[in-house]
Amino acid sequence: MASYTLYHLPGACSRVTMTALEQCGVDYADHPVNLMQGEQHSPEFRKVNPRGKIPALLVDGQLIAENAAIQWWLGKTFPAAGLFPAAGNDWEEAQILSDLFWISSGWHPSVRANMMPIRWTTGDPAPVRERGKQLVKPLFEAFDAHMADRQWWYGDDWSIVDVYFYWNYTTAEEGQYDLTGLANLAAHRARVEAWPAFQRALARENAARERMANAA
Amino acid sequence: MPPEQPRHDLEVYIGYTACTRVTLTALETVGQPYRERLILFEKGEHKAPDFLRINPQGKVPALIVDGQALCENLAIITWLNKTWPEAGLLPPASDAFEEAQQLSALAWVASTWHPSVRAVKVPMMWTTGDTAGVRERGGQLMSGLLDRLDRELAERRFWFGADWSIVDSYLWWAYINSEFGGFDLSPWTNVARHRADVEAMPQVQRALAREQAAWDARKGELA
Ligand SMILES: N[C@@H](CCC(=O)N[C@@H](CS)C(=O)NCC(=O)O)C(=O)O
Ligand SMILES: N[C@@H](CCC(=O)N[C@@H](CS)C(=O)NCC(=O)O)C(=O)O
Repeated sequence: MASYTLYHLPGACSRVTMTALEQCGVDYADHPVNLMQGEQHSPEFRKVNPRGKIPALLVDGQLIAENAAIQWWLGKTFPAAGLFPAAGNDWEEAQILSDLFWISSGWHPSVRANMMPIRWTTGDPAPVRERGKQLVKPLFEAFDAHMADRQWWYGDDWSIVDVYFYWNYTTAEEGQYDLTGLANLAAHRARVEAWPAFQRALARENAARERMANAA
Repeated sequence: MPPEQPRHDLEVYIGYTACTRVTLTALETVGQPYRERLILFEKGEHKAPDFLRINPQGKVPALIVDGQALCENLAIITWLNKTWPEAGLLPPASDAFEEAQQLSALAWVASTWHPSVRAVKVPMMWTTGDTAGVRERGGQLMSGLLDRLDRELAERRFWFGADWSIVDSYLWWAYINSEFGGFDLSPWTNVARHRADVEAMPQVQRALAREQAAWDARKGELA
């Protein structure tokens, strides 16, 4: 068994990776990186991930960066864990990658404008948050419509993509986006929150939060 | 006899100077016949019902393969590379870990560089208010990314080593677009050298010529 170390922060997008690790049932160490204190820029963390971002997963000391790439790799390495629907050919796999990278390049940066508008401006964050709302609105509405006739994004079966969507819409909500009225999204949210691997990830995040508080 | 090449009907939706340059370069590298369809953003064609049927996100690129659409640069590149691996879009990966490293590099450009370029080039994408602060922040983000890239390129000619890959074209597209947005790239000398090396690649030249011809054929409609 390889050794795994996840660099993360409770509540950040690394929650998706942590859920993936829980779903795969691997033993892993976790290291919270205090983004509020700029720890991602510290020389120690730059040695782990020179791009200064979490999630960062070390597999036997070797880095995989980027949520989408980590999830894809875990999917290949633990096919029985069901992180993704089984792809019959390269075309089906490309469609799954398209969803995954749509979330990381389309959803996440737009959600950031809601949650952390100062990431996108040196000036007044209010109009950036306003723009963020405009950007995520059609995404969330389309998601809600897509979920009208299904349990999960791909139909009957959970996949890690569900958790990735979930992290995005709940994070926008923390950034003052009002999700009321999106009933299918609300039902999806409840399903994700009841998913065992997700709950284990939250418990693991809480333990990390305590360690961070004690260290402070 | 070489093994028979897979055959597919290929059509790609592009925009002028858009990130579809990366897709076009990938197609030119693969060398299979394809048709290109230039979308005029200025006429709102990317948000028109005909195009939304192809990509509900209203974004290019979209690659139509035998009548079915595939969206997102990264997914298109991955599919082309799986289908025509000998074209050299990406270095041969010996296992899933190496493949994940390639996806990680592509994802970094798509999810971090591209949105930062947008802040410099089209800052109104990120605000309903004053654009100066967004452009300034975009410049900070770009500087950090270029510092990082410049350091890497001090050791290697291209992102993965001695040979060009589509990751180089993706990075190239990102930094030259920040220049279109008025950002000064001159402090990064290894990036300047990389730029010249990328622009010297024949498939890059062919892609640019193809994009230009598609634009020239339609730009009169905007007059
Ligand atoms: N595209 C990356 C985005 C990673 C990312 O933006 N992570 C945030 C936390 S959610 C981070 O590390 N921010 C710290 C920083 O950018 O300084 C991925 O999907 O892994
Ligand atoms: N993550 C997507 C980004 C696609 C994208 O943003 N395309 C731009 C052109 S560079 C576009 O179509 N913009 C039109 C719009 O957003 O309205 C990809 O890599 O394919």
